[in-house]
Amino acid sequence: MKLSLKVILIAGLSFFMQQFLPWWVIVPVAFLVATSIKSSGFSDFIAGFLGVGLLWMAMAWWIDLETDSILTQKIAVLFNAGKAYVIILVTGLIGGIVGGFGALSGHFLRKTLKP
Amino acid sequence: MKHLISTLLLLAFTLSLVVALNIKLGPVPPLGKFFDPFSGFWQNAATTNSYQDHLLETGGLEAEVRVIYDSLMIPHIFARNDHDLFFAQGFVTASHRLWQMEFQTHFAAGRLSEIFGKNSQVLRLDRLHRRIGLEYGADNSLKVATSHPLSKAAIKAYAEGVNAFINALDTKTLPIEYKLFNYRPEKWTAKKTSLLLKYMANNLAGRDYDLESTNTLNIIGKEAYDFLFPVRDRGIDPVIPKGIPWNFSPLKTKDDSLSVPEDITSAIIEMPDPDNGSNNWAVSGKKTASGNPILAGDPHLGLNLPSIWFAIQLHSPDMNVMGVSLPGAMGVIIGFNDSIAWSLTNSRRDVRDWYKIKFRTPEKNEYFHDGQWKPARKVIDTVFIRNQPPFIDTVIYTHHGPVVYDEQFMPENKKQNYALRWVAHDGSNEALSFYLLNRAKNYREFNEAMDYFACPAQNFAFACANGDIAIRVQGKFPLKRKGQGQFLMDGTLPQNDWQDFIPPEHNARILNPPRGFVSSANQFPVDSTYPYFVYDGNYEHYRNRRINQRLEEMDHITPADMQALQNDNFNMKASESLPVLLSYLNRENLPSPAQDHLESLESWDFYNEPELVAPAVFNLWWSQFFKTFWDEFDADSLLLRTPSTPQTIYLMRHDTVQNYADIKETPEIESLQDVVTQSYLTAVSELEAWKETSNRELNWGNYKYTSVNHLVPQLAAFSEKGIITGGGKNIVNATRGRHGPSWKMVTELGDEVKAWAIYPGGQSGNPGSPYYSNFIPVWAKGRYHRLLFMKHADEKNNALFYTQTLQ
Repeated sequence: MKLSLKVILIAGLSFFMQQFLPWWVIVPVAFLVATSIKSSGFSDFIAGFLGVGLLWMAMAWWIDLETDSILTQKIAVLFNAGKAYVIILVTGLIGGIVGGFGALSGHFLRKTLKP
Repeated sequence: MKHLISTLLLLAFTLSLVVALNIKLGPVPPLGKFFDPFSGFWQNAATTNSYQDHLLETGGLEAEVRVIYDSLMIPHIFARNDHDLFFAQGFVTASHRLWQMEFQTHFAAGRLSEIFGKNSQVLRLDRLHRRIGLEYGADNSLKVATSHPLSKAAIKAYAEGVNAFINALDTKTLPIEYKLFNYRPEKWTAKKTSLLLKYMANNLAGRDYDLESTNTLNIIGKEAYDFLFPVRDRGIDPVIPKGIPWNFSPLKTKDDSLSVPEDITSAIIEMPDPDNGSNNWAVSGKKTASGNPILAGDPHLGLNLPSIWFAIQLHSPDMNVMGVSLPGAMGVIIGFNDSIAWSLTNSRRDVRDWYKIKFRTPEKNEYFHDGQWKPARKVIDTVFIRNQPPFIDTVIYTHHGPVVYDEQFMPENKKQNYALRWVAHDGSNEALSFYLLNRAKNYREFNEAMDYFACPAQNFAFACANGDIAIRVQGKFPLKRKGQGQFLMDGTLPQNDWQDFIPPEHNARILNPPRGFVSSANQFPVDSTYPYFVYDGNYEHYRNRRINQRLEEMDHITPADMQALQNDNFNMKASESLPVLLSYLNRENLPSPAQDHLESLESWDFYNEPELVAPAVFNLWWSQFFKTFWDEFDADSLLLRTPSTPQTIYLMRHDTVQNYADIKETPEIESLQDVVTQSYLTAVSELEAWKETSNRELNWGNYKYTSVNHLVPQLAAFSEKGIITGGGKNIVNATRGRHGPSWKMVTELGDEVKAWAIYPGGQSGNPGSPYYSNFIPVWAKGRYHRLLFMKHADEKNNALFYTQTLQ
């Protein structure tokens, strides 16, 4: 339950903040959410990973659908990825890893402050 | 404590990850920034739904401007004054082509290392462009352009418009190439427009054959040279028809004897594609079905994306012009207005000469000229390299121009110092020329506009709604004595300097010739009665004769006939050389594929249609034959000049003395029959090998495999490859593998102007847009779009797409 709450919080806040701030704002977002709500380190990492990863993947997927994959196809060729969906997955993965580590850092800060 | 360390370690790791994903690592773009769906490449993806009516505050206009897009994504700009018109042109062009505009000017200025970082090939290219003086020429032209109020105001307004677009850019809307290479556009300046015109000057007038010719002359001697390399080929059909009287008294040249330095140059700088050229023609109402004149033009350039051209209509209270513009320069370069239409072809002429410089000391502070030591000017050129210390080059300038060849840049050549004198170095005001041309209403105003046009020299075909047709050879041409500038010249002798220039009123032109048409296709401009020495190492010999032959026999011409002529695939070179090849071929014991190909060659009607096999066989056979026949010139090394194709065909028929056919490195004496047969067998086995490796069916379209590549060759993902087209080199439809008609236009003048056009690209420079390459399939089929030429901004038309209102 806590996990889904955190995933939703991270995804929602990232979506909002990314409208005007650079991409790395996902780190402070995931970090702050993880420091605010107590849970295990593993669960925090997953929250950050899924929160940002799913957000990025959904966004990418939506843009891909809207634009008939014109650019996604070309980026797939550029990165030797073959299929367009790989690019959507990679997008989610990059966001997810950064978000996950942002959240994990937050988790340890919480532990340091409130052992 | 343990948690604190973990926190710090994790934070440090996360931050490093963010940093790593935020910078470009080698060829890899900044992955985090690039894949971020909120402002990375995803935001460059577009659909037809992305374009809607909208209002934009640009903060630089005097009055409201309406930009109406049609379904081809061609903007029709309606402004109330010149300033707003050119401001809007800059703004609109940048919104589709900003990255390309900046990239091309960086290319000319020798600044690509700032984008691509350390790369020896890129650095070499940057140094080359600086050394041949493109920026030096751009500075000189900028001074001239800004000294005239009209061109000055237009260039300034254009730059303001581009900058208004750049200022409104954010990380999201940045063109994708900036995101890939992780950099940002800089401010647009008037100088960049000047650089772009020099970029074109280099493309079209940046090739000479002087050092190859010098090597050849010094190796084979004058007699053989003059025999093999006549200034004019036999049977030329000049731009200005033969027998036209010249109504002026020419400037005199001093007739000094020419002596050529005995230098052999082992390395020669890279120069642009020798096929950069074009076709154009205009037919008078006497020959057309409607009685209106028709003008057609198709410039041949490297096939790239984003396309070199951007189609546009510009409307203001005193002008209404449409056609194609060069992203980075204001106005329309090839097009039409209510009264006239025009198109350009490259008017090749030797406007680049090389001078051998004698320096007093190795420090090169002084050079010898006209009996005295004169001071040389040293220019420190700093090539900035991304993430690296800059490369510092010293270029020495003499009064001739920059010393391009020296031991710093061309160490292969030991101690040869050659300075370049080039018309492109001189200041000129082509911007004003196009400004006046765009609003010209008749032949007189057309000529007034032409007088400002200096470089790259062009054949301007012209047609007017009043029925006039004309062609003018226009450029700034150095006045040369007979033979001057064909070879390297001794730079110490003042008589080798360019003495003067041919006055623009002496440039060849013709109005309403009796034959009822004018045309040009990069051939020799004039007949032998023209009172000035005219020379270039590379006049085209086939396209022009085919065009003239067809125009001569055609009557009741319609625009569709003119489109068909632009797509004409008749291979005149094959029609003149293949019968000779076949007559010498030894047909005994030919292996089976050679026998089959022979049948296809013998039944071929000389049309390079994409589905035929014969054009591929002929093409390979001819090039094999040419290489073997001229083995004494080692055609692969590029260091010697090779005789022209028409000269080769002539010698095949008439060489009874020298026996050039003999292959020098073999002890036997080969006959022409041996060489023809041997090259045929080699060609056939190469074709068989091609079938194996390419896995494609053998035919001309597959063999040629035309592609339109992104300006950065590594970005193959943004290129269009494997386009099936007919035509080829020396054919009216001049589509080669990577080169060809970059814009095709047919315009009929009259009460209503009608125009059809196409180019191998799309209006958008964004690879994520449906308008990036949408013209290519239409272009490949030889089809056209009818252009919408609007009269006023409130016109209703089904082809209109959306309106952008600029304030």
